[in-house]
Amino acid sequence: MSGNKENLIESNVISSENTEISDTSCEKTEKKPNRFIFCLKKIKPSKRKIIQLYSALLFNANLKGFKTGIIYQGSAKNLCCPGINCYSCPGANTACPLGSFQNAMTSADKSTVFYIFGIILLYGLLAGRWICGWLCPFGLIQELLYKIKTPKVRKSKITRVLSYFKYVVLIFFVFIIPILYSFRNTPVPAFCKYICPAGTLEGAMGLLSNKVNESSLRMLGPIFTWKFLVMVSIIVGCVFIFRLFCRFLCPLGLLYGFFNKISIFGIKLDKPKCVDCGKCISKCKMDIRHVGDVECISCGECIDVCPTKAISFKGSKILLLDNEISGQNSAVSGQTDSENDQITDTASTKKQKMPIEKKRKIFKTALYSVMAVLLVGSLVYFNFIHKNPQIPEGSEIGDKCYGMDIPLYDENGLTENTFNVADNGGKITVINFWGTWCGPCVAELPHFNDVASEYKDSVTVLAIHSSRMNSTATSFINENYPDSNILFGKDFPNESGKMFDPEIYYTLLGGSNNQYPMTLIIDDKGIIRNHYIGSITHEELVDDIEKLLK
Amino acid sequence: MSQEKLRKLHLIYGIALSCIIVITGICFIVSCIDIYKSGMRPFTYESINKHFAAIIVPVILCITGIVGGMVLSFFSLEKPKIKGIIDTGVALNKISKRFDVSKLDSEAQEKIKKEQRLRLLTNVFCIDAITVSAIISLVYTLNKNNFPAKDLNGEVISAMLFIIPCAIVAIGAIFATILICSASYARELDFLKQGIKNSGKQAAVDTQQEKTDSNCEKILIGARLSVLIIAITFIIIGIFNGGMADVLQKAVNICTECIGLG
Repeated sequence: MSGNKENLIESNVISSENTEISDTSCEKTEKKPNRFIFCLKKIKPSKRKIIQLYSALLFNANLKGFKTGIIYQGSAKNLCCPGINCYSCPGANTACPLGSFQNAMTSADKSTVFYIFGIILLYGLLAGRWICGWLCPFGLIQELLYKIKTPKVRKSKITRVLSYFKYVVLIFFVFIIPILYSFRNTPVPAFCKYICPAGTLEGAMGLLSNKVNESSLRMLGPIFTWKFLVMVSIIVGCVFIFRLFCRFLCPLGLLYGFFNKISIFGIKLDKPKCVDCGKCISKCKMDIRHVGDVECISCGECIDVCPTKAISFKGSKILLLDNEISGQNSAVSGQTDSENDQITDTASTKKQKMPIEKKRKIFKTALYSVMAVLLVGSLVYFNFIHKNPQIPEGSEIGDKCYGMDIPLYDENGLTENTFNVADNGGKITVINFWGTWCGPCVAELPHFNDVASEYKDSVTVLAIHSSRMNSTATSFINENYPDSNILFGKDFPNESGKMFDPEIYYTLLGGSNNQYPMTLIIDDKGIIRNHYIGSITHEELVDDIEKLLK
Repeated sequence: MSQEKLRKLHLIYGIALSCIIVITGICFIVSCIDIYKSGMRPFTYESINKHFAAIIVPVILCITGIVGGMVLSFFSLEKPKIKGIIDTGVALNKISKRFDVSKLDSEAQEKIKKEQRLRLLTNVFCIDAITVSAIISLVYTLNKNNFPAKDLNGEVISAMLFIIPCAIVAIGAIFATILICSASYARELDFLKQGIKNSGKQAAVDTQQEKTDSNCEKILIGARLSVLIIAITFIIIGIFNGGMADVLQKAVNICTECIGLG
């Protein structure tokens, strides 16, 4: 083998212009296939495509969410989907690792970062960028768009250089901007907010396409226009450029790419066998410099074109893949190469092969059974068994607002003083549900502050913080609104004791989907006059109050 | 139908479909901007549908084109032979290990050294450009006065307007380096080939396996174990200090920023 290899290298030295290497497999003459069978073969998805579809369905098994317009609010969201899958997508049943990571960066309480960082490390170690090639739902969407029959933009030095833009996105949008603003108690998940097309496509389009969420249309503004523009550009770009988002923008793929060398699953190159013919790089549609580098998504398309079979999947011993079986009985039986060479008896070779074939069969059967049970179980559980909390009646516009003693904050924290809207007769009440972890909530608080100051004799503004992460509320209020006329209160955690169930007063006043902020305008008789799900502008707030004052 | 005609049909169809897709994309963007600038508040499904109804024709054409493309794909073209892309840098590296450059003729040695110096200078220039761009960007971003959190979108836009030119400079430097180094590798490879031809097999060296497989294996296992231990430790810390609960809390609320609302 080494002698052959030196000859090949020397021939490369002498005639490196001759880069075209004939593909011996193409030289075999083939019978013209039956057209029908040919069409069937054409539309039959590859193994990788099937796994991608399976993964997309598994991580979006909450199909009833598309019908009801309500996102899944259960405990499965403790776990993260390995790829990019916005957790605001109605079908999503897991959290997005990138969104969670940015939330950890934006949080004043940096304890969150340990968990999510550990998850990313674990996923990276297990699979590296194999996740991008096989499990990521947004990667699947991009590949399906690329299948549209148009001329394609081939990879080149320009695309390789553009692939470095991911580093800029990772450093500035995922790390620096969120951390900077976290010191100002303002959560800004910059990548999610300004760039991520998965959030717009899966989250926004998924939610807004349902009539139930019509009130969310009020919140559309410049950010949504920008994100829509980015999303459409990326979708159109993906038709012409293979995995445009993955190659040039995705910071999660970049993070996973750093683990490609050490990941347990992925692609590996057997360097002694490699003759540097470059066919793998030519076949690959990503901007790799060599197989298994940071850009490699381990799709495996280069395996078949390698003339010396130097490329294979990692973890093949665990999964008992073909490259560990064919012609490598020594690996199985523990014999050395020299002992293996002595085996010439084909009958004994067959006998040694049999147990492995059986093992593979059993392993495959077990694996497929587990996958099937997981998928069917998920679909049944999320769509038929799990129940989201019901929206109560009596919280509509025109109803008398339900009163509850809400505990209030002062500069030292929560006090025994309470406020009840039922006791606020003769004055207009504005109730706002917010949280320090919610960017739009924090952004609109100044409007309420202005209104509370301007109309202090006739309007009471009650800003009710979620009981979740309320430890940050006192410091936030002291720092930003020390002498405000706003009454800051705290909601009650739900009685089920489950953290993810919506809170009591928020639910009683018609909150659903845990969608913050939420604002209610109540007149001097305690009747709900307006109900806003999402941000409210200063003009809308003042208009409503002026109407009620008249 | 001959392959040539089929190729032409695919090309024409592809170009036509590309134009339709691009036009449809532009129509969507223009409609969205139009809706935003129209000032009609509050947005309702009826008002939005009215705007998007105007672009129904290109959307239908697009869908028809895509379906047509799927049908056309059954009339397949011959697969072209795969031409290997040889990274001249990698090839040069491998060949250099098998031939001792100091045993080549002096002319070849001089030319090779000149190319190596050129690449060194180019890499140094590239690193300097990236470092300077990074420092300028970091100086801006680490200045708290640039991010008072009063107008979030404005502040981020200003930051991007400052950072993007720096990024363009850095990426331009990388691009220039790649171009110069590629050309330099190709030239050096030619000089090396010429030198080897002239010197014959005198320059060949005995190759030795650089690293034993077991060493590589040990390093890999060590790295994997370290990352695994760190990952599990972080996850356990995160579960106990409330990090996991925070992830859940964020995930069960609609992230209005993630979906562009607000």
